Amino acid sequence: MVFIFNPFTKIAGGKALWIGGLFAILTLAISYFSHSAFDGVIDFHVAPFTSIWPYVSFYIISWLCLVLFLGLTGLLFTKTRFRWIDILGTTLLSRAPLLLVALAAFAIPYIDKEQLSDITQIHFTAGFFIASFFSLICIIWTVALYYNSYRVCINIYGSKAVWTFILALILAEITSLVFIHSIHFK
Amino acid sequence: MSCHHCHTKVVGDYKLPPIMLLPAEDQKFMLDFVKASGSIKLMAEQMSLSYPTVRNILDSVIEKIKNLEN
Repeated sequence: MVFIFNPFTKIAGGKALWIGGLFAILTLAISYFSHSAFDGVIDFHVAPFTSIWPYVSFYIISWLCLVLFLGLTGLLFTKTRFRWIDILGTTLLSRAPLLLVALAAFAIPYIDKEQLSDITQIHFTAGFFIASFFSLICIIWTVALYYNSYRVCINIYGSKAVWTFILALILAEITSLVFIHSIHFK
Repeated sequence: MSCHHCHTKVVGDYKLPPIMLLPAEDQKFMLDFVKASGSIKLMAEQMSLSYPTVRNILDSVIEKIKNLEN
């Protein structure tokens, strides 16, 4: 049980990077077919694109924004000489539960702006609610993994770990959204 | 200082070096670390732990030694 929330006491660095990379490739391949876009550090939306590249770029931008802000927080708030490869690897591996979200997205239909304006016309199935709830659980799991990755890589603990992590997560989320929207939704 | 096996006791007005005051687990870590030529990577392989976890253990031992020195 501990291992699924904190595998980073055993796996980090290059090993975490290639395992996380394998999960990322699988997730993105499924994303293309289930139209699941991870357009932010903790975001997930169903959005159909004709090419796989928006899904890939969203995934990479979000990941790198998180790496940047967790690393900068580490530089500012701890004396530990951490390795960037550990943050790169463990954060990528932390995104492994998104594979399950990409699968769950097959049960979540795309809702466009017109449909959203008249929500009573949308037929929500039980599958939609189950898949949405399951996706939410997986995203919470991902955030828990982000936190443990941060704690292990940066060697930070206690309340300082919690508030600096929240700060880094918020900044990474805002930055990733700005980048993604400036690139794809101009 | 006393030995639990042979009951030898050494009594005197002297200070033990900080490393001797560390818990046995940390002393073993220090010894293994020296035997691994100070390589965190090698220690991580031997302990089946990740590199940052071993570095965090080392940081905590260093912190304890610093506290004992003060």
